[in-house]
Amino acid sequence: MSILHDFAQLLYDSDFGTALRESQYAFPVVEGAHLLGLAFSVGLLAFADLRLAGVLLRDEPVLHVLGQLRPFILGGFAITFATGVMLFWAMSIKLLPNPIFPVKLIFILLAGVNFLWFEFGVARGAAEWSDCPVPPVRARVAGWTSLVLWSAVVISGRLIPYLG
Amino acid sequence: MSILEMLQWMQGTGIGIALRKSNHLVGAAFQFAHVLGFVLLLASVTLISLRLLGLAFVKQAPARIVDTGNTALGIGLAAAVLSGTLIFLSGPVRYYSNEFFRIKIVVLIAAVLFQASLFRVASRGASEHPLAAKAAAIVSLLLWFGVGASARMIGFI
Repeated sequence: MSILHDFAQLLYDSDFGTALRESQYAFPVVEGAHLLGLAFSVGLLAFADLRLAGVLLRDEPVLHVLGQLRPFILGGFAITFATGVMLFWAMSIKLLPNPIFPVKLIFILLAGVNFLWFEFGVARGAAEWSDCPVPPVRARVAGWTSLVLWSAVVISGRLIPYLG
Repeated sequence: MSILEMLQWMQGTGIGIALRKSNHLVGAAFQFAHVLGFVLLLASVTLISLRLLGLAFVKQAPARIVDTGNTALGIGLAAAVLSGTLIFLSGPVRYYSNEFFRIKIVVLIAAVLFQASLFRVASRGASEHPLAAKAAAIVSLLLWFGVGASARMIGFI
């Protein structure tokens, strides 16, 4: 706890953290990019998830939909993650005691585990069912799980100012 | 009746008072619907634009992706507007006095009008006139991300 706190204090007091926190324009711009990056990351991922769940784009092969969206989803996550790190850097001491912040991180972790399970487990046999309008249960579960977990990440993120 | 009087009247209606007196977590729940709806809306605009710009799903007919995107766009917009109206009614005078709120509403109206008119025409004719569709996609992206950017600024004023 104290190591974490010391680290947060170090970030908070650093030149970069202080400058970003006190900047009239840079801070809102980073906040804005964090939100708008969601359109590419969580938003486009939702389309991939809904294809896996057999809800949308049923006529298109699953692997094609995932492949086409992948670079944009990854780019979106790069923006969301980088701006998220910057926001933590600037606000670390205020975020640490916020009860919803660790909850958000846990949801991100769970979504990551779900992704790894899909990528290295479920997707292995995807060539067999890629053309199916409705993929097998395991794939649908992975899709819905991702959709629910990332929604929970967004919701807990929006809760941060309410519980801070 | 001036705009201010109208806003004050809204604030005094039953729904305005009920929203203002409700627990702040009720307000947070509207915020969830607002953010999730808006993310879906922006993602739909992005998906459609990627196709029209020729950056993804180039082997599929544009209409395919446009139709799917439009369905999701409609759901996202409905969720965002409905929750947004309730959030606004919790403090009409306060929101209206915020400069970025007024900018956001103007850009939002422009985005909806553009999407329903020129964009609609351009996206339907994407196979015959790809350049017009590309231009429409860029304007659409700028307008909708502009709505999001000005919306995010409301809280900083």
